[in-house]
Amino acid sequence: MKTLRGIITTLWICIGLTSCIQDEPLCPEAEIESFTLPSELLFSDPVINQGQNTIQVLLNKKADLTALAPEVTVNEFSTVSPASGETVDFTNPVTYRVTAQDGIHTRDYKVQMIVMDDEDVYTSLMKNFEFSYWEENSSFHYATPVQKTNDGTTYSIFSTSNQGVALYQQFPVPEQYPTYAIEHNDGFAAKMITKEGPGSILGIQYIPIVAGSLYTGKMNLLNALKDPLTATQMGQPFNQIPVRFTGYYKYKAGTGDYIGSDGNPKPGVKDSCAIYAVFYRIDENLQVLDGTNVHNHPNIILQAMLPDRSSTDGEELHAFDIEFKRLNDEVIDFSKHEYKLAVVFSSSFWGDRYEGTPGSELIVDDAKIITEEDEVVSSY
Amino acid sequence: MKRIWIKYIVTCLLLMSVSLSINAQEFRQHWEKKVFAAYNLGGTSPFPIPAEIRKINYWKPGFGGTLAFHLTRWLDPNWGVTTGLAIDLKGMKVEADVKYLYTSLVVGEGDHSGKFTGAFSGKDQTNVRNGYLVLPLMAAWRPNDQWSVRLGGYVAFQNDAKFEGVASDGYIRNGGPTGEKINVESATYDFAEEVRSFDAGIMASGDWFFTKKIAATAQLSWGLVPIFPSDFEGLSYKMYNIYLSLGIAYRL
Repeated sequence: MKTLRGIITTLWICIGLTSCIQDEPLCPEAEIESFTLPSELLFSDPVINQGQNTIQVLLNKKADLTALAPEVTVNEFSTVSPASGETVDFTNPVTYRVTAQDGIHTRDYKVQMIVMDDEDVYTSLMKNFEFSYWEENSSFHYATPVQKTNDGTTYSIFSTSNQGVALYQQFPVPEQYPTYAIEHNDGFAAKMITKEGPGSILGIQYIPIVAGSLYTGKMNLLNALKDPLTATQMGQPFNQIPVRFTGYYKYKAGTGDYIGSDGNPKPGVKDSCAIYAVFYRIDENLQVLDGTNVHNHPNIILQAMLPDRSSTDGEELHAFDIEFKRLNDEVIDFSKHEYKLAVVFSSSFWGDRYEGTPGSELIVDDAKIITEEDEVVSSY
Repeated sequence: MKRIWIKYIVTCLLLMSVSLSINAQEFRQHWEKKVFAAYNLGGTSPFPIPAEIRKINYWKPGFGGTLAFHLTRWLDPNWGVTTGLAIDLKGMKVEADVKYLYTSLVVGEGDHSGKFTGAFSGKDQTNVRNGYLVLPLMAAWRPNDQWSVRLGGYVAFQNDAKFEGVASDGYIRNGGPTGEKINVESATYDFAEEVRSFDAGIMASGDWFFTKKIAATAQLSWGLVPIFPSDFEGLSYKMYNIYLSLGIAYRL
């Protein structure tokens, strides 16, 4: 009987299943895997944002924007246009289109180069955060603030928790995501709100709450399912010494239970907001800080942390002016090392660990990083 | 002596033929009742296998079977109509390597649930066990007393569904094949609540009575209704219940 069963089983598999395996489908994937220029032209390494399909490159003053020939690599079987090594005029953003092997799927990357030729460009991109301009993601409809230079060039330096949320919850309008723009002072401010989470995600993660968050840097979802703290990659290249971190904010902690990452209430714990900035040196072991080490990595030299993170009084926004404090004695030398600055806001301080009180709300506007150079200029 | 011998033989033959014809009369009664128990081999499977499924790593029938009561009304010595009732547990465990498989999974609970949509490449392990109450309706034909075959259809009502799996050792591209890559070490999914409560299809069976009462029986049931409703987005292809039941029948 066992033999009979074996024979029939085998036959059934052979006839029913294996013989029907079709030819390998043509690859539908299209991805730019790397994008490089000669290092002497680069102010910082090009940043490929696979979630937003953008490639952003900050160039040194000597770079000629009108004729650059980036080296581009794409996934196996796919092709890219303009081709790798082709000389392209980057005065305006250029679309690089990757066509998959199947010929059906294409993916467009917006490649943008900005020459860091004067302090105005630097300040408007890296130091002043007005949250005046937001771009909506066309697939998932969440909004992300973008920076704009005086000549109207937009540049993304911020990421939000929306990008992670959109993995498992999609909303039709930006205001339903945890981070979005609200009108304030004839312009816009950034609002973050902590919400109840979806619970179990495919048996991989338990997400009881999701906090609104906004930070300079990018979200890398590659390992986000398993290690969500590594997804928030915080920091942008920065080559001035920050002195103060200023801005306006309002915070209302949620009134309900503080929910721990296990989904259970933590009695007696009050939610608090995150408003902080860290300045750190990068090296071969540390390219970017993430949620696992943004508070305690030894490469962090300067830190500005809002001292009182509890709810603010009244309905008005309150000014904050936080001094950067040294965490070690390391000498800062821009000729020898590269440094990054991360600016972080969140409606729940431990929101990246899925802890917080649903309903906690943080509004921030007109945040600025004041550097030593600014202080020198203003003292004249 | 010889004549007596012949007479004896003839008498025996006559008696035998009479007794046989009496038995045959009993067998060939207008109503025939039969119970059978069978082991289910097969798959809840797309048909044909889509190109996204690259390799079946293993397939196991698992615990599953059918317990049936068949009632046949013989209209003449060869032809009849069969109906009945069966409890059918259709299941399998299968692991396949898949590439670029489109899926949209409901994640989370209640008001805060959402969808995780993308193209998955990696290993997919599926564990299915769906219980059905089956009503067959088949034409029956018997060339002789040992053999009978039936062909017709069935309708089935699902009363207990299990359709779960693990996607592992791969990655998903968010939203589709040109989306952001996200590694998937091991993710579980559960489509049990989505399994359609109704199934219908073609049924064919054969009985071989090796004693008066007991037969070896084989029955093929081929579902024609996809097991998930048309608005189901968990899998990009339609799946059908395709099972062969092998077992023993007992004539009541």
